[in-house]
Amino acid sequence: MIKHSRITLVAALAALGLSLPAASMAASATASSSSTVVTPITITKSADLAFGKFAAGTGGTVTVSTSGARTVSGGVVQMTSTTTAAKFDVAGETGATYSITMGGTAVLTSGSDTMAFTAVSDLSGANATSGTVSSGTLTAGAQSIYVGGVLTVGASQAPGTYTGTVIASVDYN
Amino acid sequence: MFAHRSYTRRAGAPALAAALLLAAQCASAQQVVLTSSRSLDFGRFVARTGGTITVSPTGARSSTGAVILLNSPNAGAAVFNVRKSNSGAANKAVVITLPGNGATRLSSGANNMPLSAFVSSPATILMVPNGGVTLSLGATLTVTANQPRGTYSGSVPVIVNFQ
Repeated sequence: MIKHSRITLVAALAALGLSLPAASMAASATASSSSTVVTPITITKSADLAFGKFAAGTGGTVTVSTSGARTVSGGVVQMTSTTTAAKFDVAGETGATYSITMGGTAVLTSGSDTMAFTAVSDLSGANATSGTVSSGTLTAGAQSIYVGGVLTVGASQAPGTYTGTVIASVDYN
Repeated sequence: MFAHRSYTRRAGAPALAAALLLAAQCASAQQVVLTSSRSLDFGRFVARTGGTITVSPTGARSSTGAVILLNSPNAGAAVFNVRKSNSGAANKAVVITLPGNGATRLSSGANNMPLSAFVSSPATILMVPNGGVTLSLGATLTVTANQPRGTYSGSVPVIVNFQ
């Protein structure tokens, strides 16, 4: 009995000795991996841009600032009416920066009559009357874009209700 | 009782011998060494109705489905260095073992996304020069519809061994 078990052990040892030189030790390493899922960016209109009523007179300009205040130049005469700046509300990933592209019509039209329109925009509704913003930051996950504009009114501009479209597009940087 | 003790002693000796033999083999043989130097980063994206994002071993990022990729300067492939434990001959090929499809996931809290289609460059290593070889690793990340926002992270284990 004892003899038999000795033989078994020696054989096992020999097998180990033979197999080990062929074996090599594997090396392993781990790379970390990551990704960031970002909340989709959205933009909604919450106020329209209104220049209100005015008389063309000898022509000039009508400006509605980003806070909605109206001023006129040249022969344009203001008439009592409500004026507002357009407001777009942007929402998305907190802290993300985004680009703003203003588009839409370059003129307001009433039938075949037109008035040239130039948009003015800012991010604070701070009574800006010139310039546009091209980027913003969603500091708390939201921000608003305020849009006013400048209308060029011709001498004896035809009466009517003139309309146009302001399009604001946003995209993450 | 006596017979039992005798057997224990005999069994103990070969076990010790085998352990010594194993240690000796590891110390003397040329070994392959793997170190990670860059993480696999899929960058920032908007999930929308879901899709996939693939980072190739060259670091190029692409997407399928509704996923929108956002600017992500740090996105790129994982990079490993494969080298030998000491200089010298041993021009042996290296077997690269990558994780299986879905075996690894990126998670953020209770949410996760599976990784699949791991690809390495080079796909095979026929020999390791003394200076080592750079091994780049890409994969595909599967994003479900409305994948919750967050920073997802995980680990990608890679094993290399001389053939």
